[in-house]
Amino acid sequence: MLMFFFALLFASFISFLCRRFSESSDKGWFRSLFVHKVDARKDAHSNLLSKKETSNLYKIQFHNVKPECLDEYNNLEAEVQRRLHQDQDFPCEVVGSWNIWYGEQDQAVHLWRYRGGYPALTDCLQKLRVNKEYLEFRKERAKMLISRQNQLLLEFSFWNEPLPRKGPNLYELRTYNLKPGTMLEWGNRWARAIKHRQENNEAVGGFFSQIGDLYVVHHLWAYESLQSREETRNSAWQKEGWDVNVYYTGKTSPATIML
Amino acid sequence: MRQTVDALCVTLEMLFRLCRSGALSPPGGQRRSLSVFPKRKMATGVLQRIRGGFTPAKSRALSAGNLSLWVRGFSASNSRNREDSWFRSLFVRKVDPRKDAHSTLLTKNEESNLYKIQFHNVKPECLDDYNKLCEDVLPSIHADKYYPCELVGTWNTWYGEQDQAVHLWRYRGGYPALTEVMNKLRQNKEFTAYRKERGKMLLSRRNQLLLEFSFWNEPMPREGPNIYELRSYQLRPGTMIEWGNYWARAIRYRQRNREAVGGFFSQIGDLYMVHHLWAYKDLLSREATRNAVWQQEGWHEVVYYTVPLIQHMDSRIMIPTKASPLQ
Repeated sequence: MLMFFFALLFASFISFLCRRFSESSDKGWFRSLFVHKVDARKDAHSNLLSKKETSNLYKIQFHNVKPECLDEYNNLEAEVQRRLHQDQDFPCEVVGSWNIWYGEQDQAVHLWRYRGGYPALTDCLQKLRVNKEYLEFRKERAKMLISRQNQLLLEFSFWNEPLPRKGPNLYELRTYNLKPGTMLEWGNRWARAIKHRQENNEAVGGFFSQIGDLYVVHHLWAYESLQSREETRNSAWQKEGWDVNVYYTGKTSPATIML
Repeated sequence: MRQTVDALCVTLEMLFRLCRSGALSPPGGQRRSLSVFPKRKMATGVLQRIRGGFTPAKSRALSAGNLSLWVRGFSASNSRNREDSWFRSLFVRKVDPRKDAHSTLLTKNEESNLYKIQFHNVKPECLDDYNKLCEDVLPSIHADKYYPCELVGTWNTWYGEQDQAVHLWRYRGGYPALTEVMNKLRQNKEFTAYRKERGKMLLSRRNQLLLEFSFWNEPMPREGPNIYELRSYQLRPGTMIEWGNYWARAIRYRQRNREAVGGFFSQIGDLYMVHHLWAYKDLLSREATRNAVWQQEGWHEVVYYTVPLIQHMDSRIMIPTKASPLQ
């Protein structure tokens, strides 16, 4: 009995020491013993992580605009997006369209929603291919762009669906490049964490990429001002459980872009 | 009594692992450790078996099957990129040191096909002109028997990095064929003019020389209309053979809808890069095909073991241009 007690004490002491070591050093060898284990995946991310009832597909576009053409570009895009958004013939909606304020400047970000998934996307594409006005617009736009990239995204099931908002707000797009294989773990942690971030209606949408750069997650937040962003984010730390979320997810590489 | 055995097991397990590290270093060579997803169930299962049997834990654990379970059960989470360390190496799967070059071990030995992939970032306003130019020049080089090279496919990216053209060439005959083509094209005035024209339309370009994996299909011309997906994986250095081993088994799960076109690994350019080229009818059938694979027995294991080998991955959806043999 006594021997058992001492062995238990010894083991718990060692594990306590190791957790301390693991917290302080980033690449300690002890650490490998005491991290939580991840189970094997059994299904595709799109089945496990996104909303099942709806089949919304999102497309995010990053357009690097020539600095001298930014205003002209904005006018042109606004006009075209308004028409596409309202026209019932095209099964797509503009969720949001921004210019970057802090971060990579002279970049425009557009977020589209296709209700109906890939068929809606293909439908939209085919219709636009034969639309002369749209082709003209693309030609005009191409002269103003340096480069562009896009990604097709799905929304996380536990995040709010991005709905129109009254302004004025500024938006923060936090983009995370996850280590391959960690998407489920990210999802699990944030499914619990998202409730800590609902105080000021700041959560707009959370997405993970399906096509384009893979293992990329975007979190979209809305704040009234930079100051209120600071306050909101700081107050999250006062909540029980938020620090655990950061601890387990913090080993990815976040890039903050402010819109 | 039972509790004493439990305590004994824990202590013995730690002692045993310490011993094992010394006993299993391969002579010479470099020991590489890899993090893999551990199988928690297996580890606890072994522990319970030992407890239940009341046999000396040490002799039980020494049996080969349990050995690997013990090791795997305590390996690190894959989500961290770590340096090697002797202690850590106890808990990860062992990889045998490589004995030969990738080009001998992984590629088809009967033929000596060399592939070149080009990524051209085109100025957005010049994309149409660029496509037109390539349509004229590229098929003529392909068809001309004087140049021992073939165009496998030429695409524009649709989703991913946009305004990018991707060209894939095959050189039957390996490096000698490549050098021959290069020398001949240097003399060709039309080609030089094409390059000058093209240069005005490009923002940047990069290329890689690739070899094909022996277990993948050889890319053959296809009837369209298809969309193509190029999945590019940046592997952790040293993991190419393991990648090859898993995919040699996995590739048969992905032959249902003839979606596998070609699989390549880089030799020159960005190293430890793997490209998998897939063809689908459209995005929806791509989704359906990829989801259906998860229903097959063994697929999740492939994902489980190959994902930790990846440093970075991206995927682009590409549309073939008119000149492409792969439509």
